Formats: sequence, structure tokens, C-alpha cells
Amino acid sequence: MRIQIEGIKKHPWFKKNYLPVKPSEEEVNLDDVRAVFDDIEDQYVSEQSVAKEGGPLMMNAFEMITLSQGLNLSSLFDRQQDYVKRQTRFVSRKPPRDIISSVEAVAESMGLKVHTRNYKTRLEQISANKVGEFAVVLEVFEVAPSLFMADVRKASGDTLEYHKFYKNFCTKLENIIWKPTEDVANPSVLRSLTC
Amino acid sequence: MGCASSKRSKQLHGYEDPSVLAAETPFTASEVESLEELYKKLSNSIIADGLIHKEEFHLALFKNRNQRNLFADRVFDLFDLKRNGVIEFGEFVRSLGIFHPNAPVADKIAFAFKLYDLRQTGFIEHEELKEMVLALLHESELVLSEDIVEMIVDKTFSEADTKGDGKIDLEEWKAFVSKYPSLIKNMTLPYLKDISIAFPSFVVLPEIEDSDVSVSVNGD
Repeated sequence: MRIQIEGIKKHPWFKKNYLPVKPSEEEVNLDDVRAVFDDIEDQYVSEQSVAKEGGPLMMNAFEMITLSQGLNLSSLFDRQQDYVKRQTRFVSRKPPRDIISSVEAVAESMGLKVHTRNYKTRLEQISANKVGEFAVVLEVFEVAPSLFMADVRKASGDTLEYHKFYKNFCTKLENIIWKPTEDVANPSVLRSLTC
Repeated sequence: MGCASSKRSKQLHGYEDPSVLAAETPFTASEVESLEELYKKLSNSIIADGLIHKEEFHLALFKNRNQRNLFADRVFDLFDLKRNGVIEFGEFVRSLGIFHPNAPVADKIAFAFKLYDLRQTGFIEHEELKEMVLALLHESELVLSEDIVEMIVDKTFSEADTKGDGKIDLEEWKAFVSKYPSLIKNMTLPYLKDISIAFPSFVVLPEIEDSDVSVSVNGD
């Protein structure tokens, strides 16, 4: 009688150096992979934009454009199906040191731990259901004289929780977030390109 | 022995042999097979025809098929090498290859230039840079005054336009990128190197029943 698959598997010849393949049942969540790589990407880039004396990094128009979600192809690999805006940002006319200290104060009042280095700060909290740590990275850039942009990204944790956090966070930061009222730039030019 | 690959070629339009694609991109043949898995998922998400349509691309990027985004449109157009309105498998792999950590930096720089050359004139014009800044602000739900947007665009543009002819050519773009390397940061997807972990290719092959396989042992 010829040997069946089970017989092969039991045969010592087969068992030699054999590592059974274990297909993963769980959804692969690339957020944490991405969180690690968010910093590793910097290894592929040898230097950051030149910062003014003791100030935040300058961000030029092209650097601003690279913030777009449409240019972030890593989401093609994401298995999460819900629509979420992963990247969020606000502008401020306050001095960057004040922006950072306001962010730190608000984060602490929300029960988050704060780690700041220059104009980049990491906010962390053990998430409610203890599944993973919730962490957010915020970085302040200068986009024009006395105009700063704070780019906020989820570093790890649940995306829905991040959304709730961001809404709450911005409400508490109202006094530093700038919303111009007069002479606003016209986005109608966009329609001809995006239809 | 050839039945697995011919089965696949019926499912995938623009199918090219994994070893050919591996030879012409930074991917290995097994990474190309993992990309097949991803491609199948994306290309059948709305219209089950094995081709990535623009809506399916939007769905994949934003989890929202109706999301309108200038930059996503540019990426789609550049991936669509044949310009037939869909991204085929071969186009998908070749274009993603540019985002591989091992891809030549010159390719990434050239790709980014073509991305931003909205009207494909061979130059990035002042108006195009302004349109892109406005698109980013719009996407971020940020509002800035006309003056400030002009200031931001003018400053960057004049710095990049070293020849002062009112447009940025590829040469000027290359020099600008070497000054600000983070400009091509999103032209590299680090975990493309580990694509087979997220999308194991063995899932593609059909189950082999025990009764189908028989092996002679000990001179049987």
C-alpha cells in the first residue's frame, strides 16, 4: 500500500529540519508595523529640513504636499476596512514653544503621558480595553513666517479611539488653533482637477 | 505542473510571469506572488473583473470609494502605464517596484516629478504647485488666506526654480530633492520588503487532498 500524506509527515526523513507552516488566522494589523517604520523611514532619508536657530523644522510647499493621504500608499496594504482620516493637522500663529506647552498641558489633562524632544512630542496611554497602547505623535513645523502647522498622527492603537481623541484634543486646544476669517484662499480651482 | 500558472492567467488581466516581473523589479518571484494576492483583493473589490478601476483604488487608499483626491488621481494615472483607465497586474507590480526600498533613488525622484507635473508639460509650473498646496489644505480641512498660500508657494518655488524661468524642470527638481531628501520619503514603502508576511502566497494554491497524492516508499 502506498504511503499517504500522514505517513509522509510521520516519516523521519520528512521530519528532519521540518517546520510546519502555520497560517495566521488573525487579521494582520499593519498599524504597529507602520508605527515602527514611521521612524525607520527616516533611515532612508539622510537629513531633515534645516531648522532655524532653536526653532521648529521648516516645511516647504512640497513637503506639505507629501502629507497627503493620497500619496501615502501604505494604506493599500491596510486590512482595516473603515474610513478613517489617519492624518490630522491644525495651524497656529502662537509661538511654537507655546504650542508645544499647550499640547503637553492638554494631553496631561486627558491622562496621557508626554515625551517631548524639540518640537516633536509623543502622547501615550494604555488603551481602555488594554489591548494595545494608544499613542499619538505630534510635530510642529514652520510653514510661513509666524505660521506653524502641527501634524498629528496615530502611532499605535485603535483608529476609532484616535478619532475620538483628536476631536476632544482640538476642542481643548481652541485657543491656539488659528482659523482665519477674511480673504480666504479659493479652493474652487480644485474642482476642475478632481472631478 | 503548469496548471497553477495558467489558472492564474485567466484570472488576472495583464498577467505577466512572476519571474519576468521579478527580473525587472526589485521584487523576488515569491514577493510578486504575494502581490498577486493583494492585487486580486483590490481588483475585485467593486467590479469583479480582476482590474483595478479608479473607484477601487480610492476604496483601497481611503476606504471610501467616492473620495476625490488630486494626488491619488495622479498616482493612479502614473500606475496606468498603458493609459487605458485601469491598472493591470503587470502595471501594478512595476509601479509598486519604484516604492521598494531597493529601487534606485533616481527612479523615485523621477516618479515624484511626474506626479507633480499635473498637466504633463515636462515642468512643474507655479500654478500647479499652488493647486497642490490648496488640495492638501482642502484635504486637511485647513483654511489659509490667499496671501499666505501665495507666500508659501512663492518661497518654495523661487528656491527650487534656480534658473528663474518660472518653471521647475527635472534637473532643478533633482537638486531640490538632494537639498530636502524628505521630499521623497513617501516614495519608499519599507515593508514591501516583507510583503510575504502580510500576504502569504501559499493561500493562493488549491488544497491538495490526501487521496490525490501517493508516494512509493521502501520499494513498494
